[in-house]
Amino acid sequence: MEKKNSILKIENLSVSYGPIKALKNIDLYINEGEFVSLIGANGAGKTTLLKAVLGINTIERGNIFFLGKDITRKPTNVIVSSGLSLIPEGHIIFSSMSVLENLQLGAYQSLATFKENLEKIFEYFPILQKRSNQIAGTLSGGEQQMLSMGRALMSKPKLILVDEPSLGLAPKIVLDIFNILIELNKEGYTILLSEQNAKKALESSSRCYVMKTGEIAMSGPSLDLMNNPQIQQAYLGGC
Amino acid sequence: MEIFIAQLISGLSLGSIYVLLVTGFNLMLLVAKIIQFAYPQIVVISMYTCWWALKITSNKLLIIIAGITVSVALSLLSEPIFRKISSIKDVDINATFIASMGIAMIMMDVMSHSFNYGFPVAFPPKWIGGNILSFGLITISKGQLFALVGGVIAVSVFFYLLYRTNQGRFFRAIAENRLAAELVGIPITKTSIFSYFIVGILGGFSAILFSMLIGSASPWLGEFVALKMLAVSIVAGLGNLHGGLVCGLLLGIIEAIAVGYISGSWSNVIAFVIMLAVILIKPEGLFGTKI
Repeated sequence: MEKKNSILKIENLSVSYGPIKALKNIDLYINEGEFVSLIGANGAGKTTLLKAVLGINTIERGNIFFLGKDITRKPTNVIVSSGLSLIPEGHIIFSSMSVLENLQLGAYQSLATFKENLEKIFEYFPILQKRSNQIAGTLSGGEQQMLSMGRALMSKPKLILVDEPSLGLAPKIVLDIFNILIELNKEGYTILLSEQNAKKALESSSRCYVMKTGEIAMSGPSLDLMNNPQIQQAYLGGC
Repeated sequence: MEIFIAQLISGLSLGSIYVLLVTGFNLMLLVAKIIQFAYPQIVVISMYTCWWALKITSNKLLIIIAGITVSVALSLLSEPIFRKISSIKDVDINATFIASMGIAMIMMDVMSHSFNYGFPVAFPPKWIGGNILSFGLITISKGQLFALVGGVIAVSVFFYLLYRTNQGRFFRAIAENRLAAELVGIPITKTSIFSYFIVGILGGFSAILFSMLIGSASPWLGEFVALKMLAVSIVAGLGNLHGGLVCGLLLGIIEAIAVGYISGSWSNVIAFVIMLAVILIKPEGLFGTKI
C-alpha cells in the first residue's frame, strides 16, 4: 500500500533515446524504510529509470517527487545533495585516487559528520579500512563494488538506488553484497534495487516491480510474485 | 662547463614558464574539457597590462594585481563561449580547439592593431632589474631568478590545491570520471567555472614572470608560445599534469642548451622535431594521455 508521504513517487514517467521509447508511462512509489526491487531482462529500462530519477537522462514527460518535493529535471548534484544516492552498475570509482579519497568525495556534502560516517562505513566494509591508503584501481572487483557502495553511503542518503550490484562478481561476493544490503535496510535505509538476478532480488526485497520493454509489467509483494507462475516461468527458471 | 651551467639555469627559468602554461592548458583540458589554444594570448595581453600599469605606477603589487585581474577576467569571459560550444549536440572537443584558435587570432589582431601601435613593448629596467650574480660567463639576471622561484612557488601552490583540498579533489574527480563525479553530487558547471578562474590566476602569474624573464612582449609572442605549450602537452601526454611538469622544464633546458652551443635560431626546430618524433613513436606521449 502506498503511504501518504512516500519517500519517492514517480508519476507517468516517459524517457526516449531519439526515436526509441525507453520508458513508457512509469508509475512507481517507495515508502520510507522499504526494500523495493526492480527486476526485468537486459534492456527492459531498469538503468534508464534509475538514471532518470538522478536527473542524468532527459525526461520527456512525467514527474518525480522525492520527499514530497518535485525533483523532475533538477541538476544531478542538487538531487544527490537532497539525499538520494545511486550506486551505479559496474562499480564506477575514481581508480587513480586512494580508497580514502573516494570516500571523502562521497562525503563532501556532510563533512561535519565525516569521521562518524567513515567509522560506520568501515564497520560495514572492514576491508575498506584495511585498504584505505591503497589506490582504488588496484582493488579487486568485489572490493571496488564495496567501495562504490561505501562512497554512496558516506553522504547519509535517505534513499539508495542500487544498480546491478552482482554484475560480474563471484557468487560468494554477490551473497556478501546482498547480505549487506539487507543489513542496511534493517538499519533504516530505504533501498531501490535494480537487478537481473530475479531470484536474489525477490528474496531480499519486500516489494517488487517487474519491467518489460520500458513498462511496468507487474508489481506487488515479493512473496506473491515469487509464487506467480508467470514470473516463475519468465524469470525464475520454472516451467 | 660554465656555459652549460649558465644555460641550464636560463633553461630552468624558461622551462618554469612552460610548466605554468602547460599546467593551465592541461587543467582546462581535464576539467572544462576544452582545448584552450588562446591561453597564451591571454597571458600576453596580461603582459601588456603590466606594461601599461608600469607607466602609471611603480608599485609592484598594484602592477601584479592588474596583470592577474585582466588574465582572470579574460579567462572567465571565455567560459560562456566554450560552454555554449560544448553543449551543442554531437560536437566534440575539437570544436573548442577551432574556436579557441579563432579567439587567439582575434586577440592577436587586436594587439597588433591597437596596443602600442602594434610595436613590441620593452619593460623598463625598474621592472626586471639587472643581474644578481655574474662571474665569468655565468650571469643570473633577476628576471631569471624570479621566473624560476616564482614558477616553483606557483606550481607548488597549484599542486597543493589539487591534491590537498576539496576543490582540487573535485578537479581530479571530474578529470577522471565525469559520470561518477556527477553521481557523488559534485557541481560540475560550478567546478568548471572555478577551473577557468584558477587558470586565469596561473596565466597572470605566467605573464608577470615571463615579462621579468624576457623583458618584452609583442603581438606574435602568444602564438609562438601556444605552439610550444601544445607541443609540451602532446609530448608529455595530453592532460598529464606530472608529465607536463617534467617536459616543460626539459623543453626549457633543451632550448637553452641549443642556444648556448648551436644557435638560437635552431631551438624551435629542435623542439618541434622532438615533438614529431614522439608523436610518431609514442603517440600517447611519454607519460601517457589522461583524457
